[in-house]
Amino acid sequence: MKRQEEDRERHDDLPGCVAEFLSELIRHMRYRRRAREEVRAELQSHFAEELRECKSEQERQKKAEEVIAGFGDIKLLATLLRRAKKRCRPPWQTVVMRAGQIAGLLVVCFIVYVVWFLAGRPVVTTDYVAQFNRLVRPPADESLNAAPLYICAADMLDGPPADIAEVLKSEYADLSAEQKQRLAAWFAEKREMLDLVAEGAQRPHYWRTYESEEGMLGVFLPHVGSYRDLVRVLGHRARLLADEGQNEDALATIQVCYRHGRHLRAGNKTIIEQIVGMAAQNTASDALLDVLSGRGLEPARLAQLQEELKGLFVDEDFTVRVEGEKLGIYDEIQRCFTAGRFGGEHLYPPRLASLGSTGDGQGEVMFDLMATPRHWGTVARVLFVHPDKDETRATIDRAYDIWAEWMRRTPSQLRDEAIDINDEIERMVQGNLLLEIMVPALGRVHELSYMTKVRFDAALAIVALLRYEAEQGRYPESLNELVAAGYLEQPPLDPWSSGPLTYRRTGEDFLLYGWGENFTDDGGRPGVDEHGDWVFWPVVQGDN
Amino acid sequence: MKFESQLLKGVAPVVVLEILSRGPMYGYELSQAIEQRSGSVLTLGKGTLYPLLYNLEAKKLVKAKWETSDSGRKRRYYSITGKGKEQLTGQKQQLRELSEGLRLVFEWTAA
Repeated sequence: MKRQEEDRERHDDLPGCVAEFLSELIRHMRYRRRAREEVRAELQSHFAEELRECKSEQERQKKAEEVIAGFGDIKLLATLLRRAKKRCRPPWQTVVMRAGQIAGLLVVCFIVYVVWFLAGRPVVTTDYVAQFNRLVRPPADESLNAAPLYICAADMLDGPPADIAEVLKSEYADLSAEQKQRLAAWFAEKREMLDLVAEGAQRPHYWRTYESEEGMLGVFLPHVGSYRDLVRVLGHRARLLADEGQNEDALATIQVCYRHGRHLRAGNKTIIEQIVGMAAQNTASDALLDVLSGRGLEPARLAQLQEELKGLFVDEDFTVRVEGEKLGIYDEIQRCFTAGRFGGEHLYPPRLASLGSTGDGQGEVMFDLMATPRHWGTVARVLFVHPDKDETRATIDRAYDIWAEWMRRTPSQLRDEAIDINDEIERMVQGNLLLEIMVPALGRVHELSYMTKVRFDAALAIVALLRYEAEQGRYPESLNELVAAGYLEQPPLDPWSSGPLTYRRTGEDFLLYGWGENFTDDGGRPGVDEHGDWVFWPVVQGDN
Repeated sequence: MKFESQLLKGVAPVVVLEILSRGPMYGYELSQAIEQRSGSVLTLGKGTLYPLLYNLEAKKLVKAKWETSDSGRKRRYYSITGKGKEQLTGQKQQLRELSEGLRLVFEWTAA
């Protein structure tokens, strides 16, 4: 009502029909107020001119109606006026208007996109645990499987007394006589457990059948901790037996440890399992060197030991395989990316958050992130540029394929080619939040693999050198002489130099060492550099 | 005689520019001038005139300015711009040629 009164005041000297016509026209124009007022003023002026000559109110009314009729359809007129006025707009106004419209459109698109994004949910379509079980199981009868015996042994080991747990964590060389006595007594109590491990080690295969509702994430870690403790038990027991002069039992325990490690490494198990396997083999190599340093073995026993060790690793390639690990990452990809329907194929933040902490719904996680300015970059990445499911899978395939290539090269060869595995892999997975979390430190795994190999090769060479000395009365001048005399098939390779391990006679003894991770010959002095020479012989007690 | 609106629409801008080329005028005055100077042959509806003026203004062919008359009435005066004059010259020439072409066609038809 108020507005109509204002309109009438504006057209006070014009007939009511004109006021109504102008008000309706201006309302239909639906354009900027200023432009509409200008049109109103101009048409008001026009009507005033048209009605100027009219004498009576009746004549004014009639003329006004004629003029109104002359303007034609009011809606069409309003549309024509609006369009014409829009064209009169200065360019900067057009730019501002368009920018505003685009911004509004973008906001609407963003809201629609976020709704679409939040609507997506992952769908687990592939049972990777079942695939993993098929992958790790060799075509063999259950009676040939060492796993039940190892599991049983691990259960029996579970929860050793506190003093024994402390002793097992310590280096054997640091143990007091009293602690060694306590350890020997405990081993006697655990005879059944040790026999189970020994029996398991004699079996040709090892595989476990995994069950996990969480998918492969529940397969990666659960049992390896107890195996690690079992390996410590075997290492300490071998040294203890050697201390007691029971070299045969010590060597048998060392071979059990080697075989146990080999079981964990063989096939396509997870990287963590293979690392524990390597730890077992390294423990065995270190214990073997300790036993050998006592020099209590006859030449014939050394020759036999050499054959036993060669037989133990006749098919060992010491590389780390990643097929099982890949299945684990594939499984996490299907759980961390939404399914390929509405809101599909993009990263699913709650699952990703749950890998490191707990997350609720997709919306809650995203809104929590959005509420923190320092996370806005991450939110933008997740929303707009993060690689999708297929790209992520392709990246991990590419990373593991190239890593398998690098696995065949020694650290020294990689250094010559200026390849830093960690840097290269990091570069490949950069920007992919899932892979940045999931991909292990493959450079370190590569190093561990070659460390295990060189430890074993060095132990085998030392057995041959001790045998040579026992039979020839002196040590050879070089490793080539050892090989030429038929005591060793080939000189042990030093993965951190471009040649064999460095060997030197030192009076009545010898020195055997690798150059270590600094790739430099420090003269066989291990203390020169943290990553310097790795001296295998003479054995320094407590150093391994 | 009243022309078909579509026929008139094509020539309306030229007519408006031609009349404004004689001097500034406001809307009512312009509509009167068109009717008088065309001998009432050309009658531009008010619903056509004002949108047409705003379009010509948008194209910078005319410019508008509010002025107050002696009687105190505010009027919006339109005047032709330099660009408008150029366009008028060109369009007038085209219309002359069109007229000549039509004449020849009509005379031939009559013969």
